[in-house]
Amino acid sequence: MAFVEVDPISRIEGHLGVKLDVNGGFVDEADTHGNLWRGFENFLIGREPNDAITFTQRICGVCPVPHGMTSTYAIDSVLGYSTGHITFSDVDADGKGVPAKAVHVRNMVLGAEFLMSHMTHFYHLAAPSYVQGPNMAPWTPYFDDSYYHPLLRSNGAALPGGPGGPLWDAVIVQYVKALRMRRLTFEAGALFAGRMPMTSALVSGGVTTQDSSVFFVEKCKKFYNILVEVGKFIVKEHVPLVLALGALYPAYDNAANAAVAHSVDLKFGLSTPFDPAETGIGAGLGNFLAWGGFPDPATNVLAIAGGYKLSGGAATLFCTGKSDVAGAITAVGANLVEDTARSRYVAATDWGYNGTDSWAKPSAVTRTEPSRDDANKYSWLKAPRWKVGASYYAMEVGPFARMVVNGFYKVDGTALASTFNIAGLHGYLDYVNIDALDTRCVDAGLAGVLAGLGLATVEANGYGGIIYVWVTSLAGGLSIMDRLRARALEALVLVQLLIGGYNKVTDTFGTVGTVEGITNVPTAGWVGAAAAVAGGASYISKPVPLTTKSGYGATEAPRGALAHFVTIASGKISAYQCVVPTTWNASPKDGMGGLRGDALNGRGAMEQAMVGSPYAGGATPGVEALRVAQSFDPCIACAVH
Amino acid sequence: MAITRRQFVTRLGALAAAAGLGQSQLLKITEAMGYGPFSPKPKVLWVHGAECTGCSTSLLSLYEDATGLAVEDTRLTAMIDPAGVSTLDALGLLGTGGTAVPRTLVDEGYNVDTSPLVVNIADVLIDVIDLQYHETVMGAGGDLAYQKLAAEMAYVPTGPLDDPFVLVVEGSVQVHEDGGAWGKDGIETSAPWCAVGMNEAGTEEARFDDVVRDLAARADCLAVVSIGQCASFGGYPACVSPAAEFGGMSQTPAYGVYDFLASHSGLGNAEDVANKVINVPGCPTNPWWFVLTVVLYLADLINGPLASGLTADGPLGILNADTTIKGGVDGQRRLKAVYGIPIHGPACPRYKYSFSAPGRPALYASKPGDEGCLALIGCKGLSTNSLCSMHGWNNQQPHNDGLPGEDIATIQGNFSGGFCVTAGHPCMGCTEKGYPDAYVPFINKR
Repeated sequence: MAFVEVDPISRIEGHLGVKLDVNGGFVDEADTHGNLWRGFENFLIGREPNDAITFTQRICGVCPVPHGMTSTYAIDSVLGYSTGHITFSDVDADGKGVPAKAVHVRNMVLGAEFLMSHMTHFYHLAAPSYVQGPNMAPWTPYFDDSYYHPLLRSNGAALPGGPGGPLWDAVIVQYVKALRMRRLTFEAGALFAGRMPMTSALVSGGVTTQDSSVFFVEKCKKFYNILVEVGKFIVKEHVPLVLALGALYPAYDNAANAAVAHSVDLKFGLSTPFDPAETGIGAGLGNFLAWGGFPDPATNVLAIAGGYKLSGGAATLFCTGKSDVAGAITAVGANLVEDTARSRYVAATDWGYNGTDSWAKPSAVTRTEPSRDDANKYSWLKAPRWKVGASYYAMEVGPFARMVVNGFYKVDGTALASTFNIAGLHGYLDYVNIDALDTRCVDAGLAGVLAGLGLATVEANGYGGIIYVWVTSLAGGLSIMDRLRARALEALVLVQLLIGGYNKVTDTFGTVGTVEGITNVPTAGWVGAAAAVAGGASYISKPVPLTTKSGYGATEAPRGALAHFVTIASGKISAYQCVVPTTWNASPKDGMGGLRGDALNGRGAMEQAMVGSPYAGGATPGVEALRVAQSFDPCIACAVH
Repeated sequence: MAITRRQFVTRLGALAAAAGLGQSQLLKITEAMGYGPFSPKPKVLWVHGAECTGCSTSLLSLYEDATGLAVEDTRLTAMIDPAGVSTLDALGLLGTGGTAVPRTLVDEGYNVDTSPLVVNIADVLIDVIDLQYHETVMGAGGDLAYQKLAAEMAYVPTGPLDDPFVLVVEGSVQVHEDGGAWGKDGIETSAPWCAVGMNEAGTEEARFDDVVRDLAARADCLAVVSIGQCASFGGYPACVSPAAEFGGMSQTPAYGVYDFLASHSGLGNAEDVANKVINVPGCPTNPWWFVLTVVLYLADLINGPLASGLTADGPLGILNADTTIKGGVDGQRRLKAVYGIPIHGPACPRYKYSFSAPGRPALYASKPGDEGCLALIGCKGLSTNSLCSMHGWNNQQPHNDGLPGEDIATIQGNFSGGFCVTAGHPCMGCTEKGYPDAYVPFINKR
């Protein structure tokens, strides 16, 4: 037994480390520790409610829009625009809601942020742990060659076209290209948001952006045109590359996929004969939670439903739209708690924590008091838990959780092609029809190189071969690669929801027509629906109540389920608590692990994902832990705030 | 690669022309980046403290078109330097037949932006700087990263030109001996300080205040650039809840880098070290403000004090020979070229509403979404200095060449965003010392 530290976990947002107990080259126990506390929940006290929307965006500069959005939903709830959770449009005239145009703007700005986040995560944060970077700073020093698949080593190359080889070249070019794509998503969002990353258009009651109908239509057109380029990149390059990555790192994929990979001679990191115990690195808890998000202003139905799924159980949806949001509010009120047994905070009854077991409902907590002295406390993250039956469970949140809870992604070995099929949208198989794979990546690159090594079985169409076989047979399971795939597939879905479905034949998205006398305006997707209500209002005025009111907002951030709880008194904020995606994912242990009678020891999702993973050590140690942590796309500034 | 870097920097200089610099000054910028000890590229160490990574995220979206499109249609261009393309031509940038001189990525056929005259973040990372440490971008992690940082912290240089580097700090500095509002001063274990790395054995931990102090105090640390509101002035971590229970203290003992180095670092030469600081505030900082500041500051430092062995002032008028501030910098240690103009002015598309014109009364918005000047719903543009209304954000110009009396249709002719006010949101004052506390409420919502 030896304790080692991996800190900093780099290429994430914020300051995270992990203490591992390594035994025989494998991790027996993991303590993930967030290393920075700033006190957002406390310094919001006494301020104007609406200022929380600007303040909480500064919780995180990588995902400010979701915080602003969730805060807007929270302030909406105490100012009477909603009953809580999510703000819907005012179409059913019950005195609640904000104008449809405002809901559209909120969705489009948040959607642009999602696309930025997902692309940035894969290319610029996660991929360098699988693809050796160019031989120059900031990508050097890199980890020992042995950690990288031979096709993904730089071989000393600083730029494409050198000794890196065709696949390495292709990936590096995509890295640079993705910098442009992430920038474009900002430019699209900023049309309505004023600027990105920190937006300035969100306000309780709607949005501040109020263009005349002509300008709004022109902005919708520009938004569409920008995202068409981004969408083509996602469809043709981003998704195929993510889907292919697992073939080169089968140990990091689930056992079913790894078995196929092994059978077609993709054995990097695996022994012969095939041993399923060597696969599925980073599987994690198998418990998933989502709050739901992206309300359709016309129907008040959520594009992504909220719900949960426990390991081995079936998914339960508790929020599909306005029709059942009351039930969601009840569920969140009854089942969401935070624990501070291992978190560096004081748990005292007069601080809202309910006594000896240190559980607390976020809506009841009024202050967050730091405490660094207790040796049992190792992280600045709290430990949120979700109650099912009589037990509280650590949950995984994020794109993977959303896809699983919504039934698009099964984790039991079911073929992905049979479930990843959303009405009106193309599923992933449409895009691994090889035409869609970037030719440099597969034709001249990966497939060519594999053929040169005598590994590829090139198909009649001249492409793909071995990777094609592997990708088309993909099964869903629990692993790092499943987490990465779900994120990319969500980007594939989201961009089509935003600008309309992709047409493989014409290489276009959605449809365009003439609106307000302007030609080539999008008429499909969310942006098309927005252009159709261009003449509407974007804001409804309501006074700030002087009575004491509590409420909350909950929606989806790129990294998962995000909730803000607020209480106002005499027109000012008197309590504010944030339960953030990475607080779930990188949660420390809770105080009741033993009482639950399971073998999880109270671990959070990332801790559980690290337990059992290899730790090779050596001169450049820790890359396996980095891969596990990075697969969650952690954001520690968010998680601790 | 050195040649292409010079060309790149000269392009930046062409844009700097719009900020009021003459051509002879621009050439100094080119020379600065060819400075010998920075071979082959200026070394940069970028460290993160009590922050949100928003400024890095913002900088990743850098996009400038050196043909002047970035400042086209701005009043600034018209007022100060109408040169535009001719400036580029004079600098030899357009080559024969107007063909641009390519850079590394372009040479390799991998220019992902449409024009070879466009500057993006990939160019900066590959051609312009030698970014040795940046947690969010670098390949290393864990012990590999910690050892790199620890070695830089422990290195004892022989002099200013030993291994010269620029330190960029993102985030405020929490002083680990101090306790903030929770009154646990002096108890090292109690204070909520920021830790940024540990060795594999877990026996050494890097505290962020030590990181900033040790790196900034190195004799060969040539400049300390505070990017963002938090590093410049403390920002959100240093803000104070109006609730009486916190006694007027911030939640954590967080300071801007200058304040930290000057007053809380315990350094014997605190004043000298703090004098290396140049602030680039914003929440977040616009990528262009950052690039402009760094390029101008380094050009002055290198061409003047360093090239002369600390006997000559900087040619751009920023630094004295002894590297103390001479001019061009305001009381908040911001470059006047970047932070010299209030947002509320002719460049703001809503400015014209603030006064009446023939046939048109003044018009003030009374709630979000209204047309008109936003001053009455909380706009801080009068007391906020930045290039926002002139240069804009996210490759979108506020299109601010409308004259008083023109309607919003003319002004918003490119249907863009550009900055907060174009989105109908009051300016929040994020570039100013005292933000956020002195600038709330951000919206007087009705």
